[in-house]
Parts: sequence; C-alpha cells; structure tokens
Amino acid sequence: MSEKKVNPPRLAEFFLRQFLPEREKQDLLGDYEEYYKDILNQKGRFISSLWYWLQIINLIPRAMWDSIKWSLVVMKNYLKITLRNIKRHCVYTVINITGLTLGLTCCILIFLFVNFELSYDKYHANSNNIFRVVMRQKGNMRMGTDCFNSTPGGLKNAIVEDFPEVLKSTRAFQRSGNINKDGELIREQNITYADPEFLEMFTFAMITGDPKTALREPFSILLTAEMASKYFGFEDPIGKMLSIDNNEYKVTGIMENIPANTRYPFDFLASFKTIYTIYRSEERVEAWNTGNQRWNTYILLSEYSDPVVFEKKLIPFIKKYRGENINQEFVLQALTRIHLHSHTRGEIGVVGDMKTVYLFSIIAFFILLIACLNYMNLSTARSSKRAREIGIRKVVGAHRSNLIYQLLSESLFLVLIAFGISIVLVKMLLPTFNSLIDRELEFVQLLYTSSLLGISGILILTGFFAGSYSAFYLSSCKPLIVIKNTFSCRSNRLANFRNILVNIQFVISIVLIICTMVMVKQMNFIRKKDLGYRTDHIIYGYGGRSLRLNFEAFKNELIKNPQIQEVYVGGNLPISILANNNPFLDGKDEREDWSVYCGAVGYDFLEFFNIDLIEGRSYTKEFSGDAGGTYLINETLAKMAGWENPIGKKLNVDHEESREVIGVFKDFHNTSLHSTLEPMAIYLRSPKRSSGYYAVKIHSSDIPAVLSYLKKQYLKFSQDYPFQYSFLNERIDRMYKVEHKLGKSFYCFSLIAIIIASLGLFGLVTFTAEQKIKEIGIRKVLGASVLTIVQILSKKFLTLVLLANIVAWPIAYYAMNRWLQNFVYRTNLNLWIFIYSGSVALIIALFTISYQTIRAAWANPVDSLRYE
Amino acid sequence: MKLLSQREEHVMLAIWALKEDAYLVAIKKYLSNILGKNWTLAALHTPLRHLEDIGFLESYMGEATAVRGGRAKRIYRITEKGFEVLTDYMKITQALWANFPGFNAG
Repeated sequence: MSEKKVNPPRLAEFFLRQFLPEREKQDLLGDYEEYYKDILNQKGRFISSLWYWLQIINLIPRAMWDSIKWSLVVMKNYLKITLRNIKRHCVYTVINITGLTLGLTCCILIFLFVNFELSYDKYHANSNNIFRVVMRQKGNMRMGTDCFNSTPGGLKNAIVEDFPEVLKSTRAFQRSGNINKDGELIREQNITYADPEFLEMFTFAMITGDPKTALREPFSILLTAEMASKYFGFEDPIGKMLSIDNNEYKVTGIMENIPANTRYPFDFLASFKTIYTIYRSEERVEAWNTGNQRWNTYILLSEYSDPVVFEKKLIPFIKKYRGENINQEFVLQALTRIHLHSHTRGEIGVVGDMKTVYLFSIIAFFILLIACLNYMNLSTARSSKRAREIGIRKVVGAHRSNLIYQLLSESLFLVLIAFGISIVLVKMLLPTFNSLIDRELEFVQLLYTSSLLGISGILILTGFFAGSYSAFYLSSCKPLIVIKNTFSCRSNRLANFRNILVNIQFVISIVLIICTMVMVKQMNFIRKKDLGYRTDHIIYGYGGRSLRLNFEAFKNELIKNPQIQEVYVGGNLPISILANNNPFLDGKDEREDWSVYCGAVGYDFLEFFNIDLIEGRSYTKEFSGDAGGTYLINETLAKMAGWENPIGKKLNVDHEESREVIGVFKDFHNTSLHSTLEPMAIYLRSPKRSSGYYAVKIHSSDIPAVLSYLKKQYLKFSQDYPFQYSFLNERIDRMYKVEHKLGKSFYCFSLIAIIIASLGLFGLVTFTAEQKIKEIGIRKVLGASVLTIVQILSKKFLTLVLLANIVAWPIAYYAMNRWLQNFVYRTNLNLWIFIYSGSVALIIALFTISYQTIRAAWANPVDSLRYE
Repeated sequence: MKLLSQREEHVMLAIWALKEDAYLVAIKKYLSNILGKNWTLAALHTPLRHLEDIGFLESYMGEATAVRGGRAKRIYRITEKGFEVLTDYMKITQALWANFPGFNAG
C-alpha cells in the first residue's frame, strides 16, 4: 500500500460534500473514502477515482429532492408570514397592490401593442427576403419624403430578367370598386390586383382554389372568407361571377381572412391582367414611362444576396430603361420594415410609426417604475415594524441571503396578485384601448410564446426591483439593535431616500401632465387655424360618369332647395389637389427643380371656398373660353418663379403645352398643417371630364333633411356609383387623427401616473401621521391649533411636489419642443402651461394628504398620549 | 402495521446480521455478497436515514480510523420498534411463502 496519493481526488470530494446532507456529512465522507480505498487496492487508481467521481451523480437526485422539499417548507412559512403582514396592514397592502395593478395593466396593454406592431408582415414564409421597390425622385421633397411607392409596369419583368438574384417579382395595385349585389351598389375599398407570382411570394392560406392558376386569367378574382359569405352567403362561390364596376369577374378561389398584422390587407384579390382592360391598353400598363406608374412592385431576393449591394445595381438599371438624364432612382424597402419605417408618398391604410412604439414603451416603463417606487417607499417606511421579525430570524440562524430571499418572494407574491387582477382589467379595457390606438388587438395574443416570455420577464423584474431596496435594507440590520427596540438605524438617510422616491414619482407625473396639455393645445391650435378656405357647413361627395355628364342639371336641382346656399360641381376640392410635378417655366426646356401642385377645378372654385383672388380673374361663367387653356396660380408659385407680374406669364405643369396665367389667388393648405404652403396651379376643366367631386354649402338647421334631398337628387342622375357624402371639416380633422389619438393616450397615461403617485403619497402620509401621533398630541396639549398641525404635517410633502416641478419643467420643455418640430405651424410653449400643470399636481397632492392630516390634527390628545 | 419496502427490509436484515459492524460500507458489502447486485452508497444511505427518522433504527458514532481519513463511523442498531416490525415481516413472509416448495419455516 503506497502512502502517497492515497486520498480520494480533492475536487471530487469537494463536489461530493455539496450534495451530502449536513447531519451525516462527515461519517458519510468517511464511508466513501473507505470504499474508495477498497477499490483502490483491488482495481487501482484510475478505477477508484472514476468510481468516486460517479458517486456525485448518484447523489444528485436525492439532493434535488431534499432541496425541493425544504424549499416548500420554507415557502410555506414565508407565505404564512406574508399573509399575516397583509392582514395586519391592510391599507398599505391595498395601496401597493392597486399601484402595481395599474402599472401592470398599462404595461401589458402597451406590450400587446408593441408586440403587434413589431410583428407586421412577418408571418410570410419568405418575409425576410421580400422587398418593395420604390422610386425616389431627387429634389421633390414633400411631407418629409421624396419617395413614391408607385413604380412603372415594366419594372416587374425587367428586374427578373436582368438580375439572377431576383427570384420572383410581382405587382400589386389597390383600388376601390363598386360591386353590384342584386342591383344595389356597394363600394369596396380593398380590391387588390396582383400578378400570379403574388400568391407564390406571400404566404396566404387558401381555403379552396389552386394558388398556381387562380390569378392567371384576366378577370379572375379571389375572395376572403368574409367577403364570400357577404356576397354569396352559404353558396359555393367558385366559378360564379361577381360584378365590379360593370365588369364580370369569375371567382377562382377563397382565401382565409387576412391576418390583422398586415400592412396592406385586402378583401378581394384579382388578377393583374384585368388592368389591361380597365386601362384599355396592355402597352400602357406594361410601359416604362411616367404616366403609368401606379403599381407597387415587390421582389423576392435570393437569400444569398445582400440587399444593400443589390440596390446599388439598380442605379444603372433605371438609367437603362428610363434614360441617362433621369433624376429618379429605385430604392428597396424590406417588407418587414414597411409598417413602421416607410413614409413614402401615396401610402394608404393604417400607417404605423416606430417612434410611437418607442414612445409607448418608454411610458409603460415609467408608469411601472412609479408603481415600483410606491412599493419601495411604503415598505421601507414601515420597516421598523418588520424589524423585530427580521432580528429574531437572524438570531435563530437565518443568513442574509435567506432574508433577502424571503423579502423578495414577498414582493413577487404581491406582484403576482396584482398581475391576476390586472389580467382581468386588461380583458375589460382591451376594446377601449383598441379604439384609442386604432388597432385590433386580441386577448389571445397574450398566449403567444413571445408574450408569455415577455410578460414573465416583466413580472420577475418588477417583483425584484420593487422588493430590492427593502430586502437589502432590512436584511442588513443588526439583531441586537432591533430586539432592544431601538431600531432607528440610518433613519435620516432612509427618510431622504424616500423623499427622493416620491419626488421622482411626481416628476414623471408632472412631465406627463405637461405633455398632455401641450398636445391638446397644439391640436386645438391646428383645428382652429385658418387653412385659407372655408371648411364648415360644407358637404361633399363623389359621382361617377353618369353624374358627371349631368352635372349642370344636378346643380340646378340642388339650388332649388332653400337649405342649400351654393353648389359647386365638376372639379377638385381644395383637399384633393394632390398631384404634383416639376414645372416648365416660360417655355424653358428644363423642368424646375421644385414642384407644383396641380389640379382641375370647376367654375366658381375660388368663390365657393372663399379663397381670395389677389390679381386677375377667376373661373366664372362669364368667361367661357377658359376651359383647358389657362392657369390660376397661388402667391407661392409666383414667388418661386420670381414673377413680379404673373398675369400673362406662361408655364406648363403637366400638360402638352404651356398655358397662360390669368389670375393669382391667396395661398391655402391643400394638405395638413404638417407641411408648409406649396406652389399651386389650378385650371378649369369642363364638368363632363372632371374628377367628379361636388360640394354643397348648407345652412345648419336641418341636416338630415338636406341629406335625404341630396341623396334623392343624386340617385336621379347617377346610376353607376353609390351615394356617399362627407363633411369637409370632419374630413380635415381626420388628417390629424394620429395626433388626436396620441393626445388622448397621453391623457390616460398621465391620469394613471398621477393616481399611482397619489396613492403612494397617501400611504406615506398615513404612515407619517401614525408615527407622529404622540408628537401631535403633545403639541396640541401645549396649545397648537389644528391649522398649525396640518401645516407641520403637510409642509414636507408639498415642498416635495414643488421641487418635482423644478425638475419636471425642463424635461417636459425639451421633449415637447422636439415633438412640435413635427409641425410646421406650432403653438407657443407658454409659461402658464407649466404653472397650470404644476398647480394641478399640487392640488391633487394637497387633496390626497388632506384627509390624513386633518384627521390626525383633529385627534384627541388624550387618546394619543394615554398609552405610555 | 407498516410495510417496508424491499430495500428497507434488506438493509434492516443486514444490520441485524452485522451486529456491531453495521455501518454503511459493511452493509453495502454484505448485501452485494448476498444479492449479487451492487447498491451504491447513496442508494443505501437514503433508506437508512428514513428508517432512522421513523424510529426503526438508531445510530451511534463508532471509532475513527485512518482509512476513513480520520472520520468516525456511524453504526446502526435496530430498535425495539424496528425489531417488532421485522418480526411482523417475518411472519408475513412465512405466511406468503409457506406453500412454496423448498421453503422451511424457522
């Protein structure tokens, strides 16, 4: 027997030791060592060491089981203590749970929103490799972008032929149409025309029909399940005909309803070749020239190809087909980024914005932060009550880690209770939230893996953060001090910390209040700002070809109604003049590098909309020779062109030859107040060839009667278009829908934030009042009045709120300044906004603390001083 | 009357057989001799502890030897309760195996 190296391997022994039960550790180790030496003698060192190492694995199941068993026992005890604490301090627990519930509800709702927004269009199998091709026109910056999402028809085939890395391409074109259902015309907005490759590139589930052939023939159409039941009920629509705009389409397939997180959903999918007939020429649709680019083009790029590199190849590509001098270029947009990052011109449908996602996430974080700070504050304030229990635990042998574990599990438990309540709240509030943010979120989205993971993470972090300070603070107290009942260690530092917490809460709340006020102010400012034309009491509508042919007769009938003041037919409205192009001035050969809005109008356009004419004359019936040969321009155009006397000058915006300017009108805003005033040129066109809008100015008295009269007259003259109307001022309001919703959301958030902060304040005041019972009693005996006592109690808290203002104002100022940059026309950030918000916070704080302070001040000193 | 699991039964019988030498390693060797199957130390230690908690066994510390790295042995002894259980067990086993050929009572 060798003397050296006879002991079992040290490292293995170390591990073995971890898994052995405490009580018998030593003798068991002895047993293992004895057996080890046995094997060592019989089989040698290697085998015995191997055996020794393997024994560790044998011990693991037992060790795990033991640890779980004891954990359960310990948890049972902690749970009992937690419940006891809750019962004893009901008010504080309720405050904590309420705050946490509100915070969690907000968080979960915003989480659903963010998750949804980030998931747009990712459900397609090829979503990472699909790109949309958009066209950038350099120098034509409007509304913050110079990109159009419409591309020429010829692009689709050319790009696949020229580049092997483009596997497939498709065009998509969305249009509205009138569907004839049993004689009644129903207007549908979401009819998409697409090439057959569309179904191959994107992943849409087909219920019936063959995706390979469904879009091959012209006038084929697929319906979503919803549309199928709407137009065909329970019948099988396959093979049947659907009449859209007097064309017969054959139904070749049914698709499942498009998922809600699609940027461009559709109800009908028709074959692209149909467009040849609608636009009356296959060549025009497939061409490369400017006049016919209205189609969205998507490509499927090979996954080995880098989109950045590929985009550069498109520079010579566009020159090849459009000429060397073209100032346009093709740009790629990743499909998955379109919803949140694309701001090209011509976007339809619901537009999302990454900024909103960030903003809401930050707000959710801060509201949850306020709730956690509440918990921290209240639990540390009451720490002296807890201290005795902690002290005894320490004496009996708890390590600091055990105590931390206990306190953290307590806070986690409360968070879970709050979570349970907040789930119920989320379910109830989801419809309201949906209408606030303009989305269709569903409760089941909470069950997705990403949601479950995210929410568990939020819960754990919240529980830990909320309980952290209390856990670390309480677990570090010395048992001796505690049991001697002199626990007031570091109370000054503690009090300061608590004050800072309350401060932070109110800073966040005040910032939110100020932001809400500024947003509301800006919205009102925009709504009241003069757009340069009359918007109230105007109803407008759109008519088809048959109405246009009879516009004069229609107008005459309408004027007969005493409720109708004026009628305008046959041209664009101020808000529909949206086409723009770079003009040729004075017969020059080169286009200018700035662009002009251009639109056709009917007679008396300026008069009907109360737009001032500055020079020259407008289009009235007296001068009937104007149709088709002249322009009216606005002041900005005259300025841009550098014309001192614009009358008589010639320019050409988008026509075959230059036209003469016969008048100058005052600028008006044809788009929202997000943009500045732009150059504009309008021209007269006969009603028969106009764009089909009509508008009536009414007296406000009996709107339903006017509407029914309008409808009656309309139906007399129009057979090919359903009756639709809108109020002009409502339509304009809708341009600011995003800001409006944002303002409303901020209102809700600031409300929640200040409720939570007030709750915290209430709890803190209650506690302080309790602490100072004796002091108040003595003061009263010595002659202090109720008022003095209220002052003493409130002073500290009110100072806190005032201080919070000082921190909050600069933050809010900076943030709102940034936000207002989005608007060209802004309100001022006046001081009174800040003062007002600060006062609101102060009043709420006062109100919150008043109950407790007054009650404490009224207390009978006999009662408070009796127990000694 | 409590039924013992097979492992507990074997362990208790081994302790009875080993008398003063009834510590973990000895039990393991004894059982692997008789059973032909090798229980690990960990597998034996658990029933030992359990039986002790129930009260069928009691343990006392024995001598420390150099072989064990200077650590004392824990020697197990069957208590009266344990003895009663074993007796009951024996009776049951007798009754169950009585008709089996080759089984002699006693």
